[in-house]
Amino acid sequence: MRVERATVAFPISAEDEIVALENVSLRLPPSRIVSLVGPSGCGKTTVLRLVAGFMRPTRGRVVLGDSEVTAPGPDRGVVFQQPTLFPWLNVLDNVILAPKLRGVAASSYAPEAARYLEAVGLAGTERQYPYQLSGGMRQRLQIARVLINAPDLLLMDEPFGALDFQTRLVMQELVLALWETYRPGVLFITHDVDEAIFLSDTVYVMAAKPGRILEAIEIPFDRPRSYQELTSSREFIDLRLEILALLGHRSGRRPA
Amino acid sequence: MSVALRARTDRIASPRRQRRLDRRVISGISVATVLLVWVACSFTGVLNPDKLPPVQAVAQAFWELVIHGYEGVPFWKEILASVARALAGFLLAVLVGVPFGLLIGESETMAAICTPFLGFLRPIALIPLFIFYFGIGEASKVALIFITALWYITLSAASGVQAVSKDLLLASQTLGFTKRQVFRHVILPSALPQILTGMRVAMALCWALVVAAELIAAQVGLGYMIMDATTFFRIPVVYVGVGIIGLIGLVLERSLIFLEKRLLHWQGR
Repeated sequence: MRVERATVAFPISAEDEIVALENVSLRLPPSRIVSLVGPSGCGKTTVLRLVAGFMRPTRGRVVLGDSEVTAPGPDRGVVFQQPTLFPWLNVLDNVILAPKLRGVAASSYAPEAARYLEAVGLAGTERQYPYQLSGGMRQRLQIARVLINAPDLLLMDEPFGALDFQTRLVMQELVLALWETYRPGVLFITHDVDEAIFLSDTVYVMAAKPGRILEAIEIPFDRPRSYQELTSSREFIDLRLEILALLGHRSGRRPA
Repeated sequence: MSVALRARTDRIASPRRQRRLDRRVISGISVATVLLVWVACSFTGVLNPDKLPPVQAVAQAFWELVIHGYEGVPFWKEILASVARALAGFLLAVLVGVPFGLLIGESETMAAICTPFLGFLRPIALIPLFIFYFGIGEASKVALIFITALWYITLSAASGVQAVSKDLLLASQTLGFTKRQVFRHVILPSALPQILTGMRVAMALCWALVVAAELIAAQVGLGYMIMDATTFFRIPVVYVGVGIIGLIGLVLERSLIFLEKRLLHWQGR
């Protein structure tokens, strides 16, 4: 999957327009984790919306295989920042609704649902309703609901931004564990540099006004990764400084 | 659930239950006090029996209504006449208003066509016109109640649809739902809370309106009964009528609240 020189602009008058995203190109190789980091307003979420098919670029294109992306689909599962669960369905029904409506037989989706709920750590909560779940559990449920569609690409829009630090670490490790098992491609939006490095194969650093990509940074660490080991290593700290410098420099502040 | 966990949730839940119990007790005491003052006044003779009847007179009027009915019409028939009008108009309005409101909520064009009229309509002002067009028979009353409830239920269903979370709709698309499935499995349940609230308000309005319509023109019904009884100074009968009207209104409201709680338990309130 590729985004090719995508520009998103909103006309404000006959001649003038606001450019939300300028000439953004990025590659989302299969089974790779790619992160976008940048300050708020840099258009990270707009990139995700393009890839998801919620909107189309003003110029440029988003390509999946040989064809252009024009609409959302279950091949690109989205995990939203604010959990968008079906509040009137219990945990299990939230997960099985998509396969059920697609006409999959219960004998096939029931054991799958059990497996994915187990994988995200929600086994035993099947009969609970979303309002009874904590923030972290709601995100786990969102992930399970998407995974049961076996997406090629998992699009995650600052999914852990609203969680406390401890929960966020647990969730990051969950993402990596799930990735090890199911190997989807992942596009991960975050403003947390450590999170981006820890998870990703490639980190795209973005800047605002207009939203654009400054640099693509390859993350060389082997998998599986351990948070403690990795974050205290010399290479990790250098990468973090490099990315922070890019972010800091471009928003007009002194490099960190 | 383990024993330890159950014990903990019990401890968490109990203060709330306690508070609700307190409120009920206070409400009970409040009602009992007013009744007691009335009963006390009744037996000391400070009340003017022509204006504010003592409790014995009202009780006796109630008993006579139950045994002999009002002016040859059995009491249950008076009650049934009012309730049947209200429910007939209300249920028709639900059958028409919910789909109509959903359509308006879904379609910009339909909303543009209909909202000016819905915003302009004030049903109670239509009572004289309905009597003029439909006469004073059942049709005019049911039609009036139907229009009133339709107005409310349509508006609430439409706003329920318009209030559906945009992110939830996007999520449904990424899960691969068809348009029909989105409507049936996302929009409809999302709009349900507002539809039920609209129904509850409409029901209260219907009940008030049926009584009002009967005051103006009817030969049977609780509204007719209290109007007629007032004309002939049968004040205890009026009080029985007022009490029954209040009680039925309460029962209707409670049943819709019960329905809401059952259908919307997932809101966790």
